Amino acid sequence: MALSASNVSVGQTFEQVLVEDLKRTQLVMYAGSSGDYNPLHSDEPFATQVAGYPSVFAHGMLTMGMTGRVLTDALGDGRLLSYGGRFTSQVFPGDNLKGVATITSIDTVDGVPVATFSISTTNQDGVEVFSGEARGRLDS
Amino acid sequence: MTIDQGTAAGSAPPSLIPAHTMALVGTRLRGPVTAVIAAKEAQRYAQAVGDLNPVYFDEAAARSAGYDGLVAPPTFVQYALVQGRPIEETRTDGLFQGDIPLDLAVQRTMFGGEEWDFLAPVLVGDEITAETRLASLDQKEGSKGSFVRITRETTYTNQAGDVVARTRQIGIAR
Repeated sequence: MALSASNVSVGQTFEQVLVEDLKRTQLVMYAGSSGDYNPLHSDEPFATQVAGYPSVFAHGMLTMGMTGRVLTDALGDGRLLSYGGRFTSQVFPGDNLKGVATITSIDTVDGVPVATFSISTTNQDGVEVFSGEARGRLDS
Repeated sequence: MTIDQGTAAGSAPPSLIPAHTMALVGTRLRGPVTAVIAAKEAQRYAQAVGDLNPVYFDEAAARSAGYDGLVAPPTFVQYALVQGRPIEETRTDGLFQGDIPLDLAVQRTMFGGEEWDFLAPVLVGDEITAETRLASLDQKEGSKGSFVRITRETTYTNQAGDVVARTRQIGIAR
């Protein structure tokens, strides 16, 4: 299932639905498994009354982790070289997220073909919540 | 929290970064911290992010994919190193659990972004050591006022001495 340099091209996109109707339970699962207990992500009265948000919202790294699957599923295991990005809008319970990775360049690094991707995760309103870049090794 | 307002010329905004905090740039904020990658923890993380790749769950699948055992999801390694804390010690504001707190003239630190370099696979049973340094502190002026961009760089090294990953985490403090 790995990508081969001979069958990918610049501009090619990979898209996945990351989550539909994000549940508060998933935020709690993420808090527990990451050890990030920031109450903005789990405590509704704190998030709304103290911090002034419309509700609790997802950990940025939950969005980044969910989005990473677009890359690891496309590239195959163990081929992701770098991955980074910025959180541009909050993700709230009930949101639907879609991740799109687009190949922006294909280069040869130390004899190995490497694809660079731009990544954009958007919600049901088309608002970008995460934007990033990644590089992954292709099979020759 | 105190801050030296200084005597900035003209309308330059006051510094949010006290000198004793700026002096920490380049120094170690956390670690070295060592932990062993546990299967159940890695699997709970994979389930939380909805990544159900068999190489995380099925040893035979991992071996047939060429690994010596179960694999940890790409960004899990940083959570394997998070130390449990009793609730009395849990902070109410930011994400970062640095052993050395950063004194800044701000209300809240939010997570702005993160960059990873993946250099080698992380397997269940690996003993990973992490060390975090304060890479930079930059005061910026945004549409909602002054903020501080905090960059922390963490290096993860396995029991063989191989660096398996590096992260640069961006905090936005305002």
